[in-house]
Amino acid sequence: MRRILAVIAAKMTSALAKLTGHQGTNIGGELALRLCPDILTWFGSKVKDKIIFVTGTNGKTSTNNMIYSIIRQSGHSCVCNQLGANMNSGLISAFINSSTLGSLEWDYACLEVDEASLPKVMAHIKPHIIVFTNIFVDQLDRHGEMDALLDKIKTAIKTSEDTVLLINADDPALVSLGDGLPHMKYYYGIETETDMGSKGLARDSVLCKKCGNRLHYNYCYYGQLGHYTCQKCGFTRPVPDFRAFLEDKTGKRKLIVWGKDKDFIVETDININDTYSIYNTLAAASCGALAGNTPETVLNGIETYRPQVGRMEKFYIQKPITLNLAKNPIGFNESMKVVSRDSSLKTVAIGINDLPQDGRDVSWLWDTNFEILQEVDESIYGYILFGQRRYDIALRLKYAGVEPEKLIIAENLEDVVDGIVKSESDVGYILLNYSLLFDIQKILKERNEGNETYHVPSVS
Amino acid sequence: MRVMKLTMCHLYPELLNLYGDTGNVLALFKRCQWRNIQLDVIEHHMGDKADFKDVDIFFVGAGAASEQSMAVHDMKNIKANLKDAVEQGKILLAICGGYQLLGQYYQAKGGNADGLGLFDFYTEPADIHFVGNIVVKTEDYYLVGFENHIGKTYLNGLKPLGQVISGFGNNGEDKTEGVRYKNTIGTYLHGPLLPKNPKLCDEIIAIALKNKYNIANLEELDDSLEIKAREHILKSMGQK
Repeated sequence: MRRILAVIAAKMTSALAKLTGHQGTNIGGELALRLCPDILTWFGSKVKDKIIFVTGTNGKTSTNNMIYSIIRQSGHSCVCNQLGANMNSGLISAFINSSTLGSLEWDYACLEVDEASLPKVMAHIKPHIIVFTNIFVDQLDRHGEMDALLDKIKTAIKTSEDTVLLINADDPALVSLGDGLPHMKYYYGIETETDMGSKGLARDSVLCKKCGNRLHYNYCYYGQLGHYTCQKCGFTRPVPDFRAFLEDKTGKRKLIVWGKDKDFIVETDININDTYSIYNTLAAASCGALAGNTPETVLNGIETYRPQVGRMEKFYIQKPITLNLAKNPIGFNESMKVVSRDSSLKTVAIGINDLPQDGRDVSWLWDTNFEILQEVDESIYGYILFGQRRYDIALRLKYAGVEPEKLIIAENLEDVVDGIVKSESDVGYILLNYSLLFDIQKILKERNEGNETYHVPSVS
Repeated sequence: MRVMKLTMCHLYPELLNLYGDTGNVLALFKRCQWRNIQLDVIEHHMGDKADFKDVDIFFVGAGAASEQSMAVHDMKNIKANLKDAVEQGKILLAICGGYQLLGQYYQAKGGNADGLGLFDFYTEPADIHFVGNIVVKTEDYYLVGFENHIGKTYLNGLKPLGQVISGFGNNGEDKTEGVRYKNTIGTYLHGPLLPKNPKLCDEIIAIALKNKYNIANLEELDDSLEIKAREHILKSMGQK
């Protein structure tokens, strides 16, 4: 009864928060946790079929929502933390939001879990499958260094020996993590070399986690993801169980995912224009197959999937404005590549906060390749910098070679949107980190002149 | 007018490259470029032979524990060269993990690890994580940055880089931050350090020019954005 009361109280709090205009993704969960500390364990016991976790640095939200879409296509009920609130209170909120008093049971749970929170979450709830997207140096002050993070994740997973791991074969950090665990493992990876490979952007070299030698890459997609081998100790990319091939015959890329022995084939020609989306789609399709879905269900799930708030979300206020969340060097580099491919005259707004959920240390801005924008400087009308660390980002752009006259500091979010709308540019882009996202999205939605917002494939 | 040329050596960028410290290299490069000074940046990797005769500025960044110990191991081969450079008054700038490893020993997983022993300071393990924004006062100016370490460094009689105004510094106890010996600067300040502290960046360039060309004055740059960025940080920390 105490648990039911906790759910009711939390639902009321969330509703109240929404009514008063607050983004209440966590408020209800925090309250429920206080009223009933074991509530997450209890919710976990109410999932009848499978609990799936998606974790890693980038691509969690998109991948998890795509898996959710596949599960929904299969006709099962499913809990999902769609908005990406991915620590304990966020997961509890997800269960609360999909609770009705008549039914407190689900077939599946698709939960995105913050990689550093994995130990805390797994103390309460044991997943059947964990999908790993990638591990990049991210928000270091919260996570400690990369090795410490990998150790923590390993310890957490060891507490649940029946969990099946689905691992990105192209990420050497993840593969060596999996090698140290006795669990059942499946791998996915991209087989085709593309013209989108970028080298040496985030870290100029990658060391073998086993022997410390520099890894040799036959091909590098981005960051540390690619086809690698250690010429000293023999550590190498495993042959994936789920292999992605890319075809570019009609100018529209086609993604083909094969299961081992071609027993499972999904072929989709949704407009995939970046490596990020390819990995997210591949991970989701592989997970859908592992969970026992038919290729038809997986395909339908992928094609009905809609990216969430702020993932290349489009608005129209006198001109097209695209909103994209980016949280770390790799994410920013990939979004700036999308911006730089648009040859229209652009205003680029960049917002950086340093709240705990963003990472309090902003020195990663200097590991980010803002020179990508400087290289297309003539097509950028101006920059608008906002958020608590607006001067840090302005300074970074100055040292990337942007003329200081092009850098405008905005003191509030209305000024950001006004600045884009009133400027002489043809289009606007807003790139920003997490805690700024919902407030600016609200303003954009209110002022949007299109009938509905529309999405292009996700970058984050 | 002849073009003045300086050389900077980035030590072990493949190992010690966390926390945006390449921003320090970029700041030195740009602030030289804006004054028509050519800054050549060379890299010294694991296993490379010491070739430092033209080097005016040495830079060591931060790295994870395992990478720190690999760097120390290889650095022993160039210890004598670095010692000479330091005593000659060349510039050595070392940040966080790169700073720690220049001392006698530093905290590592499962105990202390041997440092390079270039200086007498040492680093003990701390029970808390020293993390957050930091302000430091040197003789001439304030430094702003972000610190993130779990080691307590004790200077053992050496001179600090400055006094902690807000934050933890070397050990959270004695209000010292970093080390200054001749033109060697060791510090816990990330941020990165040099873009946000243009006076320190310019001091480094000025020393290098003085060493090489015996020129004392440095052309002024328009630092209005840098100054605003610093004011903004100080204000958000309640320092102004």
